[in-house]
Amino acid sequence: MPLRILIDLQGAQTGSRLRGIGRYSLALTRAIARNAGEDLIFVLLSNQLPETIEAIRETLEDVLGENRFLIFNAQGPVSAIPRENERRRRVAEILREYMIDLLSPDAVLVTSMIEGIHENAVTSIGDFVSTIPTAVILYDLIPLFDANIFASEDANRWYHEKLDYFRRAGCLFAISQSSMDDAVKMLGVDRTRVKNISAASDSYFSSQDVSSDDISLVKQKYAILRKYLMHSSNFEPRKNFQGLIRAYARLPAAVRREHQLVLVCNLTPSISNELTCLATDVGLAAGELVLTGFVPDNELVALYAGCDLFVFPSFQEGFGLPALEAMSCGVPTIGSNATSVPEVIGRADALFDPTSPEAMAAMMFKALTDENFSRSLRSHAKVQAAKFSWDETALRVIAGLRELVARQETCGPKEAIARKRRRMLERVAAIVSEAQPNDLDLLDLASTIESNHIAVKQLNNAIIETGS
Amino acid sequence: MTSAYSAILGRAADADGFAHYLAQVRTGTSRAEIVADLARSMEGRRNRTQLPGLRKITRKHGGLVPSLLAWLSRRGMSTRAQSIQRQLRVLDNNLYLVQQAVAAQTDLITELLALQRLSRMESAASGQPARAQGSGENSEIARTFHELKAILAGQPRN
Repeated sequence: MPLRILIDLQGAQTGSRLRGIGRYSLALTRAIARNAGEDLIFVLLSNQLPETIEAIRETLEDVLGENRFLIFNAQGPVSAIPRENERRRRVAEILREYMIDLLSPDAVLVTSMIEGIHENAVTSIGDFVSTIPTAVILYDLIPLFDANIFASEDANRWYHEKLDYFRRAGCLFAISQSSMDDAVKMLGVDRTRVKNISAASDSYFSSQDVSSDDISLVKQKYAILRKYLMHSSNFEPRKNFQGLIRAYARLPAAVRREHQLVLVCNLTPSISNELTCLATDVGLAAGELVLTGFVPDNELVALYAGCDLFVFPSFQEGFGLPALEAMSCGVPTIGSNATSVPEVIGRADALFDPTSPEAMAAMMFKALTDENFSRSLRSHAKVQAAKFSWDETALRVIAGLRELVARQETCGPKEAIARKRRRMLERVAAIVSEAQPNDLDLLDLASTIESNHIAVKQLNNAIIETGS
Repeated sequence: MTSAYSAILGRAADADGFAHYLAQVRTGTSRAEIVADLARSMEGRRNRTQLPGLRKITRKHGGLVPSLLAWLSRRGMSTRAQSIQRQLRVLDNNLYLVQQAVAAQTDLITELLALQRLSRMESAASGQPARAQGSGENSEIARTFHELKAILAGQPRN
C-alpha cells in the first residue's frame, strides 16, 4: 500500500539552509521524491519564515509536483530565546502537531530537530499526539561534547528538550555509523530504533566538468602560485585548523616550497588574523598559507579538482562531507581517525591521529612525496565516493519509514476528531490564559487555528482532484 | 490605602475614612503623611502596630503626638519646596487617573473591534450560500473563538 509521507523541512528554511543541514535536507527530500514510486510525499514549511518558501517550492516542485506543500501558521515570534516567547512557542508546538494530525500522514520525517533557538522554527514530537510514526534525522550530538555551543541555561535546557524528542521519535536516521553509536550511547536509544542512512555529496562535486582553464583561473584569483594541498569546512575549533597549520609547518622546507597550504573557509577578520599569526609563529614563509575566505560552489569544485591532496583533520564530525566532496572530485584524501571520518575515507592507511601534528605531518609527507601512495589514494577516492549516493540514502529512509509504519500499526483506539479538536483548544486555552488574552487576541488565535485547518483541507481536496 | 488600613488598623477601610484619605492623596498629601496620620489616630495608637520603618515615618511626620516638633521636623525644607512637592504629587495622581481611564477605554475599544470583526464574519457566513469560498472559514473562526472564550471563562484564574 502506498504511504503518505510528510517531510518537515523547516531545517531548509532557517539559517541551517546556508549550512550542511539545509543542503542535506533538500538533497534528501529530492531523492526521496525521485524514489518514492507510489508513495505520496508532502512537505511542511512554516509561514513564520516566509521569505524562504518560494525558493524551496521552486527547488522541489519538479520532483514533488504542485500540491505537495503544507504551510504551517502560528503566532510569532516563537524562537526559544528570548524567554518571553515561551507561551507562543508552546502554542505553536501544539498547533503544528495538531495540523500534522489533521493531514494524518502514515509517517512524518523531521529533517532537522535542533531548530528554533533564535529563529521562528517549531519542532516537537509527542507533545500533543503520539500516534503518528515519526522519524528524525540525527546529524550529530556534538553539543553534548562541547558545552560552549549551548552555553546559557536557557539554550542548554532547550537543547535537552530537543534530545527528549529524539528519544520519543519512532526511529532515528543517523547520518553515519559514528552518529548512530552516539545515539545509543548518549541518548540511551535502543539500537533497533536507529538506522544509519549515511549521506552523499551533491552530484555537482565531480571533476568531470572542470577544465584546466577553470583551475588556473581560480588559482590566480586566490593567489595560489604552485601546487597545493587543501582543506575546506566551516571554521569551528573542532575542525582543527591550528593542528593542520602546525603539521604543515613540520614538513621539510623543500616540500612546503613546492606545495602551498590552502584553507577554504569563510573566516571572520579576527580568526583570519589569528591563523596568520600562528603561521608566522610556527615559521611559515610568506605565501605558504593561503586563506581564501568565502568561495562559491563553482570555484570550490575547481579548487578541489586542482589540488594534490585534501586533508581533513577534524576532531569530531557527524559525517564529514568535505572529505567526500573532495573524493568525489577524484582527489587523494587523508583524514583524522576520529568519529565518522574513517567511514567516509574508507581506508585505514589514510588516517592519522588529529591530536598529533607529527602523525599528521608524516601522513601528509607520504601522500605528497610517495607517488605510488598518491596514485593509490587517487584511484581509491573515486571507488569510495561511488559508495555514497542520495538515491541509496533515500531508499534507506523509505524502507525505514515502512518498517516504522508496520511496527506502529497496532496502536490503541483512534481518538475521535471532535474530541481531539476540543483537547487541542483546551490545551491552547490553558497556555494563553496565563497571559489573560483579550477578545482580539483570541480572535487572532482562532484565525490561526482555522487557517491551518483550511490549509489541510485544501491540500486534501487537491489530492482528491488530481486523483492521486 | 487599603494596605495602609489593614497594616496599621488591622481592618478594611470604612467608606468615610477611605473617601477622606483619597481626597487627601488626590490633593497632594504624601503617602507617608497619611500612614503617619493613621498611626497616630486613637485607633492606631490602641493597635500599637509594629511595622518596620513605621516609627521613623511617624517621627518624621510629627511623632505620635502632633506638636511643634512636627513642624520643626520639616524645617529642613522651605515652604516653597514643600508646596512644589505637593503640586507634583497632585500631578502624579492626575496622571495615574488618566492612565486608568485610557486603559479602560483601550479594553473597551479592543472588545468592540473584536465584536465588529466577529459580527462581520458571522453575517458574511449567514448571508452567503453555505459552500461559498471564505464564508465557511469565517463561521469556523467565529465558532473557534466562542469555544476558546467559553473554555477560558470556565477556567479558574490563578
